[in-house]
Amino acid sequence: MKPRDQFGLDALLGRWPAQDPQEHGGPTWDERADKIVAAALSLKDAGSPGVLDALTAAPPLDPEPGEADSAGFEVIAPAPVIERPSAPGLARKPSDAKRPSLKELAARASQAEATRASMPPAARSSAPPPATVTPITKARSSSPGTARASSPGREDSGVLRLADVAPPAAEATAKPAGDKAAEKAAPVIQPAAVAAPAPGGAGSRTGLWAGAAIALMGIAAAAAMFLNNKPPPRTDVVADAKPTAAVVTTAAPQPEPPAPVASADPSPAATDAPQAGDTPPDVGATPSATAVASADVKPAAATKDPAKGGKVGTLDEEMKKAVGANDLPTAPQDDGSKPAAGGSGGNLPEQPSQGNAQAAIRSVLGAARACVSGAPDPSSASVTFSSSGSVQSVSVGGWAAANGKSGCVKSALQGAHVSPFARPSYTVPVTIRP
Amino acid sequence: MANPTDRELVAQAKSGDSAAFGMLVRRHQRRIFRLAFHLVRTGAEAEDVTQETFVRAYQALDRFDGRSEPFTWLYRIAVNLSLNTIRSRKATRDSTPSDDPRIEALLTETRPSQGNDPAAITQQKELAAALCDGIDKLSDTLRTTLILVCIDGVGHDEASRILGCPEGTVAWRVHEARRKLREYLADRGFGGEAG
Repeated sequence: MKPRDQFGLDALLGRWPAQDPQEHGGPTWDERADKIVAAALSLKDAGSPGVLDALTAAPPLDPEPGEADSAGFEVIAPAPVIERPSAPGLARKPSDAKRPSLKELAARASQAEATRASMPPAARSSAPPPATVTPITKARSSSPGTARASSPGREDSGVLRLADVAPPAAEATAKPAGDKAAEKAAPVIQPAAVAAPAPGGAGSRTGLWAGAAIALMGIAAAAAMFLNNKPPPRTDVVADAKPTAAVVTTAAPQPEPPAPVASADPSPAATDAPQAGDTPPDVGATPSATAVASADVKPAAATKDPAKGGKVGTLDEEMKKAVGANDLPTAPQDDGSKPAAGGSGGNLPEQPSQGNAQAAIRSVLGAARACVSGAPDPSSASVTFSSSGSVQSVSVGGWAAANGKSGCVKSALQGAHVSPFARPSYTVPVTIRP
Repeated sequence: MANPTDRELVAQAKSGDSAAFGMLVRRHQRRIFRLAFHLVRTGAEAEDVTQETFVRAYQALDRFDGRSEPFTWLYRIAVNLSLNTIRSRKATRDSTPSDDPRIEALLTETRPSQGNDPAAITQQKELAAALCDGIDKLSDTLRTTLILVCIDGVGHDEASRILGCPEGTVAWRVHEARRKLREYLADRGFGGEAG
C-alpha cells in the first residue's frame, strides 16, 4: 500500500463546503428565505405536538460500542461516567446500568445496621430493610391479637410468634368438626361449651348446686325420652340440623330439640343462643329451637349426652344409621337422573370411548376390506351403535356403494360391538381402504 | 435595533413578528443547509430539510424555553429531520456514486490549489470519493458527530447540547470517527497525512 499523497484530513473536512444551489440557476438565498418564511407562516398551526416534541428532542442516535469508556475524552467539562448513558435520546446499554460499588454496598450495610440498632430487640429478630421495618414492627406491637404477626408481601423473617397470634379463648375452644352441618350448628354448641365450665369452675356452693340441678334435669330429660318411647336422638350434629329446618316448615310436629343445649344454663344461654342463631341461614331454625327450649329444658342434657338414653346402640351402629340415613336420599336421585339422560341407568359412560370404538371397528375391518379388495378407491361407511353396544345400522358410501358391495360391507361391519353406553346411539365414521 | 441577537429575534417572532423570523432564517439557513447537505448527501433533500427545519421551528416557537441558543435548537431540529430522511430511504447505497454532489463541492474548494494538473485533479477526485465513501460507512452516530464538529465546525460543548450527550462522548465519537476514516482511507492508498 503506497500512500498516494499527504493530506490534512481535518483541514479537508473543515473547508468542505456544501453545494451552492445558486450555481445551477436556483433561487438566491434571500428568495429561499422568503419562501421558507411564507411556508412557515402558512403552516403555523399544522404541526402536531408529538412530532414537534420528537423534533426538538435530542436526536435518537445509538451509542457506539466502547462509548462508555470515553472518560478520557472529557476535555472541557468532565462528566461522570455514570451519567453518560442517561443522556436523552440515547438508549441505555445493559452494561452501562448503574451498579452499586462495594463502597456503596458497605455504606448501605452500615446504614441498615444502624437502623436495626435503633429498633427494639424484638423487631431485630427479623431483618428487613430499614425502609419497611418500622411500620411492620409497629403493627406487630400495637395489635398483637388482631393483626397477623407477619405481614405477607413485606419483608418478613417468616417466624410467627405464637403469643402474638393467639386467638381468643372462645375461638380456640369452639371449633367444631369441619362439615357444613357442623358449621351450622356451631353457634349453638359454642355457648354450651363456654357455659358448662362456668358453674363448675367457680368452686362455690352455688356452683355445686347448679351442677346438681343440671344433672337432675338431665336425668329427668332422659327418663322422659325413655318413657315417650321415641327413636333415640341422633348423636351427630348433621342429624340434628336437618330436622330443625323441617320443624319450621311443618309447624314443629317433632319435639326433638336440636340445639337447646344452651338452655340448660339459663343465664348465659338465654342471651347467647338467639344471638348465635341470628345468622341468615338459621333464621328459621333458631326460633324453633328457642321455642322448644323454653317449653322444655330437659332435652338439652339429652343432646349433650345421648348415650344415657339407653336405646342408643354402639358407635358402629350409630354410624351405620347415620350413614344410611344420609345415603338414602342420594341414591334415588342418581337413579332418577340416569333414566332421564340415557335410560340405561347405572354408571354407564355417556358414549363409548374412542379406543373402544376403534377396537370394535378394527375387529371387523378386515372382513370389510375383503369386500372391497381390488377396488381403486376407498369406501366409506357410518356405523351406528345402539346404547346396548351392538350395531344399529350401517350406511355405506364410496366405491363399495357404487359397485354393489355395500351389502357385503354392511354384513361385515354388523359384527362390531362396543360397551353399553348411556346415549341412545353413537355413530362412528369408517374409511375402508382396499 | 441594528443587529438583534438570535434570542431577541426569537422573542419577536414569538410575538408574531414574521420579519424577525425571516431575519433568523436568513442568518442560519446556509449553515443549516450545509449541515443537512452533508448528512443527507443530496442538494434537493438538503433544501427540503432546511425549509422543514424552519417551518417546524416556527411551529414550535412556543416550546423554545431559551435554555440553549436558538441556533442550537435549530441544529437539533435539522439533525432530527436529516436522520428521518436518511432512515426513510428504502435502499442504502454501497458506494459513493461518481456524481455525488459532495465530491464536486470538495473539488470546487480544493481546485484552486491544484491548478490545472489533470493528475492532481484526478487524485483529488479519488480522495474526495474515498472520503465520502468512508464517511458514509460510519454509523449514524459517528457520522453525525463528525459532520457537526469537523465539517460544520460546531464546538464540542455545542455539539453535546445538540446531540444530548456529554462533551466527553462527543470528543470520543470524533476521535473514533476520525480513526475509522483514516483507516478506511489508508486501506485505499491515502495513508499519509500532513500534519
